[in-house]
Amino acid sequence: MSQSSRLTRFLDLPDGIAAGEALARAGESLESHREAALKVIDTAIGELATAGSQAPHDVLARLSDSIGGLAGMFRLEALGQAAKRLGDIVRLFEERGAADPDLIGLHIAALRALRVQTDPHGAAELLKGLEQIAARVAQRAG
Amino acid sequence: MADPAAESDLTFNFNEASVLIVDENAGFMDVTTLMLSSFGFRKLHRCQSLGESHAFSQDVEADLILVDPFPRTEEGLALIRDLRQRQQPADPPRVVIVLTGHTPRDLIQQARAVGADYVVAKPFSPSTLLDRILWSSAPATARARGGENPGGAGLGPPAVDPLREAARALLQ
Repeated sequence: MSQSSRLTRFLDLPDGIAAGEALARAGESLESHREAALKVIDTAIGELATAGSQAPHDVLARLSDSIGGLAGMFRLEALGQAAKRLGDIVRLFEERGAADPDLIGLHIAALRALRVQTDPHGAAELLKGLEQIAARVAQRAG
Repeated sequence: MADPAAESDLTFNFNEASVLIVDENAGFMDVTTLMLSSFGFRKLHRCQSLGESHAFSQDVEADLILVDPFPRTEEGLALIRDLRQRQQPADPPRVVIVLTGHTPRDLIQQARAVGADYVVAKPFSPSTLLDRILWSSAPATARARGGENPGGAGLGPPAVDPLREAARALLQ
């Protein structure tokens, strides 16, 4: 990288703002957007449920990425984690030319449950249950 | 936990800086746009199609480019490569940040190889995004005083996810 970038000239200007002020604005702005973001998440979960466990992998990956990215931004960590895992699993299936509709269906059901789960302990238990089921499936597969 | 961006003593005015955001996920692009607006960026150009991003990038003289290469990774990386190739040696470089929900090591390596300054994993906080932008904005001397490249070091080996490992075992 050279001495400066095209953004360097925007630093240390007399009418500049400090990072703390910008972050406070961003926090308020995101909070005001929360309901709209939750609607996007709900729409994506609905599309996932409609598409079903045998939907093309690119559709599953796109929707799980959409849910995972937004959920993590709006303090829905368990939902975000489960969505990210679904995306990872789908990509692994895609890479290996494999499929397991039951495992995918289970994740879709978990996403729907996690969206309405308000108890963090319950959400953690659900995530743990998902892990155990996947581990059992893996064990059965040898 | 320390908030590196909030602790920065830099001030900035990005009103006249031009930004190109390329993201096929409209919901996420809205969130990124909100964050950038809060940081003071006003000239925001949104492109919701990787397929159209090459033409778009030629029309927009962006100072900062934020791109999610998913789902057409090759097109996303080609966009960055093209931007870097068009860069005049005497001009200060644009800042290019990859924002993506999927960060396998090979994507991170490829993104760096074609000229991305950072790869930032979705979801990210406003502080993380601002920190990466400010670090990229600062002259090299100030960066050296401020320590390591936060993005370069920030995406270390991915945490082991038991479920992912189980799925991997399933597919052996």
